[in-house]
Amino acid sequence: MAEPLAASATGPATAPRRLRTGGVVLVALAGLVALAAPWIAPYNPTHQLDPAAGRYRPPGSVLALVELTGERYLLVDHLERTPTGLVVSHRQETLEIPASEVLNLTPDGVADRRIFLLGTDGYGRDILSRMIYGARISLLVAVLSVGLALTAGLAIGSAAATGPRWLDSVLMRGVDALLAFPWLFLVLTLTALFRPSTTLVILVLGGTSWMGISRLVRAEILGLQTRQFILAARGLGLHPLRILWRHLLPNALTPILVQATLAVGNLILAESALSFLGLGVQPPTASWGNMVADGRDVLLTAWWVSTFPGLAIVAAVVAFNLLGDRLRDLLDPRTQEG
Amino acid sequence: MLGIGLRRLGASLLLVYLVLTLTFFLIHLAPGDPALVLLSNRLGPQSAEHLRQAYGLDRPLGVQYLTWLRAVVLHFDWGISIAHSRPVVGVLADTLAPTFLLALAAMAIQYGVGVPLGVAAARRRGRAADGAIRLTSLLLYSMPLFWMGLMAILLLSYALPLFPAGQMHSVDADDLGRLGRMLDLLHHLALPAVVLGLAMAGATVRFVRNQMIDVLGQDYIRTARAKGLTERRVIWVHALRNVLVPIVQLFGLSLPFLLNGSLITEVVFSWPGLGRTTYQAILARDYPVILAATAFTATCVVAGNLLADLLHAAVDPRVRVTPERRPERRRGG
Amino acid sequence: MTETTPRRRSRGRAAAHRHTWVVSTWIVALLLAGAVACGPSRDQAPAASEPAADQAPHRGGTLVAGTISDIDSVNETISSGSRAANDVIFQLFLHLLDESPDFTEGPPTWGPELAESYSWSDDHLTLTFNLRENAVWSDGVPVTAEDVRFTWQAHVDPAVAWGGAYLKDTIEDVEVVDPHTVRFHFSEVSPYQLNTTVEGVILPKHAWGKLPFDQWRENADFFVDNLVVDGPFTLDRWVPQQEVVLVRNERYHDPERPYLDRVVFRLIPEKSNQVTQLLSGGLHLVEQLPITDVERVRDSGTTRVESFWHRLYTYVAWNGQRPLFEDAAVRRALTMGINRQLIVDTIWGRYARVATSPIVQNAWVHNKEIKPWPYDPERSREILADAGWTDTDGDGILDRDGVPFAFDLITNQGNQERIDAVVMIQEQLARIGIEARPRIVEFNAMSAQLISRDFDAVFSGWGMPTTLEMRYAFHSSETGSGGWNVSGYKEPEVDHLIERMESLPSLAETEPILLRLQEILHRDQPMTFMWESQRINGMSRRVHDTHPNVLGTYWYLRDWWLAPEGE
Repeated sequence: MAEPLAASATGPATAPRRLRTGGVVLVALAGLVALAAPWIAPYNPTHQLDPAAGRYRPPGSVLALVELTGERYLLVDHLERTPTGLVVSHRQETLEIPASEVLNLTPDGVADRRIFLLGTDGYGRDILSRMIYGARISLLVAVLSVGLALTAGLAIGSAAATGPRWLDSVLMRGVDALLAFPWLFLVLTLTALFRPSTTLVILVLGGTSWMGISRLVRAEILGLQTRQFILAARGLGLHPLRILWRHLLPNALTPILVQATLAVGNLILAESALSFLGLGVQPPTASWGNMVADGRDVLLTAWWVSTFPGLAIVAAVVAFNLLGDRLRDLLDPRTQEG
Repeated sequence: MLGIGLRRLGASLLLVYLVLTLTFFLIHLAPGDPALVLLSNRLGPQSAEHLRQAYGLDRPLGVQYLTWLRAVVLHFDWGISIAHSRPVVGVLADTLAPTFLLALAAMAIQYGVGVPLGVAAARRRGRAADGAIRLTSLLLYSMPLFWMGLMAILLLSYALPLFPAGQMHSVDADDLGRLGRMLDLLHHLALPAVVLGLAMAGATVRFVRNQMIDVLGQDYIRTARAKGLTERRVIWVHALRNVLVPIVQLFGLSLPFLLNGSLITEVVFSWPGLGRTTYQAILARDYPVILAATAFTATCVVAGNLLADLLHAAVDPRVRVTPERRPERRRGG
Repeated sequence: MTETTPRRRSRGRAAAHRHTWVVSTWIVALLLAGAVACGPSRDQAPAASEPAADQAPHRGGTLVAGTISDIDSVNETISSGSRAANDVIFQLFLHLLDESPDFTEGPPTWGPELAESYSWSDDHLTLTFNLRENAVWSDGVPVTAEDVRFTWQAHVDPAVAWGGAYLKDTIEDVEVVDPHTVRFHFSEVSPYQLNTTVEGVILPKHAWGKLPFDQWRENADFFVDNLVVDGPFTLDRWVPQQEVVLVRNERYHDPERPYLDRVVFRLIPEKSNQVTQLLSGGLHLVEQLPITDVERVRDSGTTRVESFWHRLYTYVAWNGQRPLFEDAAVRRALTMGINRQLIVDTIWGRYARVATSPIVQNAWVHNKEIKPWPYDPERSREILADAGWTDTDGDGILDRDGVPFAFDLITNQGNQERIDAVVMIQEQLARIGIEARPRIVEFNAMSAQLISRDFDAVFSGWGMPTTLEMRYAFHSSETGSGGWNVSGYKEPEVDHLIERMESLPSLAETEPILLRLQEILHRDQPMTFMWESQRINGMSRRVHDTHPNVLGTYWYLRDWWLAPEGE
């Protein structure tokens, strides 16, 4: 996994043009799913209603949920409505339940039929619902981390480019030192030393991804220093900070935005790797990474638990990569496909 | 040229030193008393104190740092692993060969797949094959490595029992002859190396393709074609030669990716290498091992960058002539 | 790939009943067999899960077992005391006496091992052992009383810092009377005296005495390089992080045993990997099968499952020194807010049961009168409301004086059942308005938190020692940093009872006190007792005479034998 915000060595956009537009659509879709999760997700992602019966059900399983008095739930494979109540098949046993105990009784059976399109996990929770909520977490973490990295990178890059030479030297040496760490080792060490949490993940990911941005910012600003309009502004005696804020940064922004978009994809991968290793988002919050980890021990008997969340990661990352390529086409004339 | 080399070397050594210092203070400033990790077994206060002294944990942080630095620089003594009760050097030395093997095999696959595909895509630019290759590379580039590993195990180890699901040797590897042991090792190496190699190949394909496109647009290529050389000669001898240097540079710069990727691959496949050992050390707060492993990997990264820089300087005359102005370098990996 | 749902649907009622019947028969048979066995002989064994024992043991062969963690040393005193380490160490070295796993009947009885007999002085402060004359170390040097004394010195030396040193507190001196007679002098009478002397294998003075104690911790390799053993096996090879190979010790004092030539412990951290190897014949033994794999191993023609009730129980310890958990009523409410039976059913099926006390149900002194607190979320809410916890700000979490009822619930990595339980507890407590945040922490790091009392609640387990000591977990003197009374439980009546119990001369006499202690703990709930689980081992059908017992899977490894292939 590459250090997320390194300036790309891969040159101009490389995905076919048609697909790049698809990227925009996909990202918009992902964002929509993440925002609308509570309305789109078929079931609650954390409720464990009868985990004993519902665990590790294959994709497409259909079960009925019987709600009983005393806050009890039964997930049953078959049920029959009898004059006195229900006869159900629950975990290989047949049970008779009087009508007085059933809260969601209807003339035909019960009101709650559940279809687990992508199967269930070890606690009987719907994988599809958890994936939808997982989109929220993954996107939120990635976007916030990039935001943090952008802020830090812009600040430090600008300071290095416009400040005194010794400052430039010190800052860039520091950046080099930080870049010399294999990034995953650094991140793992940081998250393991402090108590893992979603907030920590954002801080750590953001705090280790700003280096490439700062270099890019510095390079862009240095390149702009010799341009006519900047020299003119200086000649006019404008305050350096004002020059920075109003003239330098806006013109440097374009390649940075492209990098930031690509970085979101990389950080989705990073967060999922952290969560997979147990140092990222903690249960019961669903993150695609920790969902894949959940399924690791039951790969042979319940392959769906790991497979589908992984596909979601791939889709999301592809989407942001395509979007980044498209932005590059639109915004950065220097890297147009010849 | 030598001047630049020396300066770069000096800068690299300084970098490694900075990295070491950063790591040391980072680890020791984390919350929680490192001595307590040693007390995990119900030791009385007397023993706890003795252990603290034995590991030097009762002295001020600055003193600990200098002691540790001195031991490392003068004696190459990285201390005793808390989890393994053995010298750190021994613990890590055992892990280098497996990681090296995995890295080598993965790189072979990375370039073995990446370069030809990148060249093919460049030659057929704009056509269907190019699109297909770029799509494949995009997918590979976007897949989480740990998931790729698990899917490989699911499909090629569980569903079709073609490969073992982890480890480096079979249970009865000792009973096989020399050749048998080697084949057994290759059999275990196959899945992790392919997974890691393909994951890295994704980026390599893009890179090679772009470099190749640049090169193919150059004048000397047109000249070579005009001279009547076969297309194969044009591509593989003249064009590729000019792409080789950036590729070697890429190798130097992709070391970090390799190290990160090997950690995840080793964890998924239970491969007894540096990555997995470091991960376990991080979880167990085995500070001596974490420090040594970080130092080693940082040195690798810095060495890789140094190599890339030197190659760049060797090839690009601008760098040699104007050493003052730092050219804008595009780093990646 | 096993397709589970269609198969279940087609099995139907009759098959389900047959299933229940078979399992119940096995459990009954196991318990019966356990009850029938008595006396210090080694041959008692619950035989129900084994093939017919009328075959003569076959000599030779290599047993390959899977393990999830590596050993860290061959020297027990500097080892972390993990099960993996002890499994190997207890095959290389011997204890003074051999404990019989008969604690379902009464206090454990002892058989000869290095010592053939022992006798007490009248005041019960001196214990004399007569060592067997035919025990030798693998280099030919006889095992003598000097080794016993040397071992004790190592045990109590502060530089060696053995984790079990506290067990030797009441031993004043170990005296060498003659080469085969050794005498322990105690400072006080207690029911644990015999256990105290037997705890810890005997180390070779002539080989290991050469290294001063203060260098023991840093030189783990010395003990491997200078290894001499007196147990049934010796160390052939140790490849760190990969495998440990034991080979038959020709100088073991019993010429008949062991039957196996070699034992290989292969480090395979993933259980699923181990199970695959077991089914394909690569491994002969997998300890503690994941529940999801039990059916496969049982149904395969080449493997079988051994399951038996063990002495392990798990619990959630509430840090009573934090305001949230100070009140016993609140702790009872927490217990009633956790659906323990559902957790057991989900995670273990029939292989575990709800625990009610720190003394497991099949122990001789389990208090059968105690009925577990029921799962009653309504009642829970009432109790919490009485204690002042209501949801004043409508966020779904109870609060009191502006403080929400929220805390971290930690457990250690690597134990999937505990992690699953913690996730289920979180969800159940959320329903009554309590926010429990699961935190999975690495084992050493978790121990560090526990020792420094830097935690809110912890889900952990305890392999109850057969002495049934209560001091370390429940006496108020152990609440300080370093003690194991992590809940910070302080109850004067409990303190008195424990102190009285410790002055009795024999374990049998501790019965009434232990029964009363269980009642009080049930009332006060310093920890919520979760479950007692069975040990479920998967093994090749070629493995015979394993004598499953509560002391350890490999306790009787010297009796095991492998049928030749094809049988």
